[in-house]
Parts: sequence; C-alpha cells; structure tokens
Amino acid sequence: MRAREHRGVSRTCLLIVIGSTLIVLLTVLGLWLNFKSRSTLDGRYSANGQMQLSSGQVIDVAHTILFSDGRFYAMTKQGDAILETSGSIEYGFLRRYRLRVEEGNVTGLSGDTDNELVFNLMYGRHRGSSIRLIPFRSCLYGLETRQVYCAVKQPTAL
Amino acid sequence: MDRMTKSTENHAADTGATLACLILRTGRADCFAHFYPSLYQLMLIRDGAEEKVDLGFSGSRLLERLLQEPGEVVSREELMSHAWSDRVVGQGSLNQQIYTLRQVLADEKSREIIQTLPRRGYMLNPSFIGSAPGATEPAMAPDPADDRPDTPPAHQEPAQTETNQRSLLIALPVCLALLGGALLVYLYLMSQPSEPLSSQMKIGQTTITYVDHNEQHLQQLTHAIQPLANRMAAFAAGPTDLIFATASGYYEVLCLRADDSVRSLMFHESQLNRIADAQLQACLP
Repeated sequence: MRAREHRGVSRTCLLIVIGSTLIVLLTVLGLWLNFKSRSTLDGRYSANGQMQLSSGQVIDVAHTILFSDGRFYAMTKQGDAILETSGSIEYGFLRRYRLRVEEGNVTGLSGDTDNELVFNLMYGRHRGSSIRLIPFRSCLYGLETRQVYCAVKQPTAL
Repeated sequence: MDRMTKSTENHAADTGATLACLILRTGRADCFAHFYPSLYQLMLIRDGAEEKVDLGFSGSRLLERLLQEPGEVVSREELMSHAWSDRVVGQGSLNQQIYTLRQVLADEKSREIIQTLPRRGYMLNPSFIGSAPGATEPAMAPDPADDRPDTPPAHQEPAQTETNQRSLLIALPVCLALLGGALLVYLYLMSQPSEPLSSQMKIGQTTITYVDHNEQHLQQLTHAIQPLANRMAAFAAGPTDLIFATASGYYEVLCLRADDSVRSLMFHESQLNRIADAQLQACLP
C-alpha cells in the first residue's frame, strides 16, 4: 500500500513537473510570438488636423514622431505652440508601447489656449511622464496626450 | 562466534540478491526465529507453526546491525545512523524499535537477547544465535497466505523517498517561477489601458465608430455627436471611416483615409454646433 502511495506521489510530482514545463514553454513561446521588438516601430509617423478652441478659434495641429533604436523624437505643433520631446520606448508586448519622456520643451504657448490643451502639452514635456500608445490600423494613438501618429509611407526616407 | 560473524559479514556484503536466513532463539524455549534481513522479516516457528513478522526497514536494520557484531556493544549513535540512514530521528525512535524487537523475540521482560549497557549502547547475546541453514526466499515469496501483498520490500523506502524529494525540488522552483511569471503578466496587463467600448453604425458609405471606456459616456457621445456624424456622412464622397471619441471636454474625430493616413478634428464641447462645413470637409478624404 505504501509503495502505491509513493508511486502515486511520485507520479503526481512528475505530472506537475511535466505540466509546469509545458506551461512555461508555451508561455515563453507566446511571449516570443507576441513580443514586438522596439525596433519594429522604427520610422517616421505623423498626422495633421485642426482644432477648434472654446473661443471658436480654429488652429492647425500637426504631430510628428520618429522612432529610432528604442528612442523617440516627437514634435507637436498647435497653432503657434510647439512641443518637442524625446525619450525612450519602454516595451512592446502585444503591440503596446509606452513612451518615457526624458526631455521636453514647449515654446510659443499663448494665454488664450484652453486649459485642457495646455495641460496636455505640459504633461507631454515633463521629464519622466509616460505616454501609452494604442495601435489602430497603421497608426498609434497617445492616450495621455491625445496625439495621433500614422506611419509615413516611406519611413526610412528621413 | 567467529562462524556467525562471518556469516553475518557475508550477509552484509550481500545486499539481498541471495537471501540467507539467520536463526535466533527467542525467550520461549519452543520458539525459534528465522531472520530474513533482505526481506526485513522474522519468521517465528513454534510447534511447526509459522508466523511471519514484518520488522519494517528500521527494525530490521537495527537487528541486522546488532547481528553483525554479536557480543559486542554497539553504540546508540551507530545503531541510529544504521537504522535511519536517510533521516534524523530522536532517541525515542531507537527505544521504541528496541522494545518492539524484544517483544517479537519474547525478550521484553528478561532482556537477555538484546542487552542494554547503560550509557554505552546495546549488545546482542551471541548465545541466542543459532545456525544459518541458508533458507531461501522462494519458500516465502510465493506465500499465498501473505495478508499484505502490497507491502513493498522495505529497502525501496529510502530510494522512493529520495525520488519524491527530488521531484519536489524540481517542481517547487518551477511552480514558483510559474507563479512569478503569472504575477508579472498580471501586473503588465493591469498597467495597460483597458480595451475601450465601441459602437458602430453605417450611414451610406460612411462607417462611424464611437469609442469610449464607459458605457454611459458612449451612449452620451453617440447621442450628442449624431447630427455632426450625419453632416459628415453627407459630405463624404466615397467609402469613409470616422472615429469619434471624447476626452477632457473635447470631442475628437479621426478621419481615416484609404492610404492609411489620418486627419484629425478636435473641438471644444461648447463648439459642437458651431463647426463649419469647411472644417468637416477638410477632415474628410
């Protein structure tokens, strides 16, 4: 009887080990298949549009970002205000990326810009702030700063 | 004595492949015990009747060690390390096993067979050792009367225990690694924005998608933006995709073009009914 118990315990342990190993392998495989290297982002992305402020004033908006070797360099133009930032791309699992701002600067900000827009610009320039990018089609959407970036047709032609 | 020592030495060298038996006199004049070390058993023979007694691994190893040097004192430490080589036990375990052996050998009262030497150890009285006729296992192995058919040879216990411990040693870090991995994935997923809710409608060739993370806000957005969406659909010259969202007091419209480019239109919520046609047309492809 005791031998059977031992055999049972041993078999259970063996099954646990085999099962765990399989799960680990499948997890690693899944991660590997889903992980997008930061370099796959490399290239230039941009989008243009318009913005109508609470005052009724219409201004042009342009977003441009360049991804290169795990880093990003971005410029947003809202009317006369220009935000330039740079930093690192943190990870790319399941096509989700996060930008970590390391340097940023805003110029040309006028006093009649809406507070929400000023906040977005200020947040985007602050060292250490993170911007999560949500992909859609061939574009990326900056969740915190409401910026849109779409792949430029020839991203390598800088 | 020399002969018995030799006999037991031969047995000690023999790990059970060829099974020998040692005969011991017991505390009863009419009872003899055949000790099968490799089976960890004693066969008590009284008036021609046989009674099998399983000593277990530790009990058998204890008796075996005493039989290796009959007439010599074997220290308690030596006995314990021999009988429980795979684990550490207390003095009580040794006392219990000695008591059990004495009971089996009908020696619990007189204590003449296994003698206690205070502060020194135990000694097996050589005068109780009989001859070793070389009884063999086949006489015992096929015994149909064996009431414990599943009892394993006790010498498998330590090996089996070791195997189990090894399996556990492997399984434990694997399980911990899995738990750690699951925790990391969970934390990663928690750090990600949740998938937004969306509703879609089609007006002519224009596909309109409303996006928000809150069901109620999504309904409000759909209701509020509907007139504007109708206007834009009316301006669309061909198949067009529009995405509407809202954030921080601003409405956002993304006009998706066939070449995968996007034009955006953002406006303050107070401007919802003041958007000029030219702006809508500028957004559309």
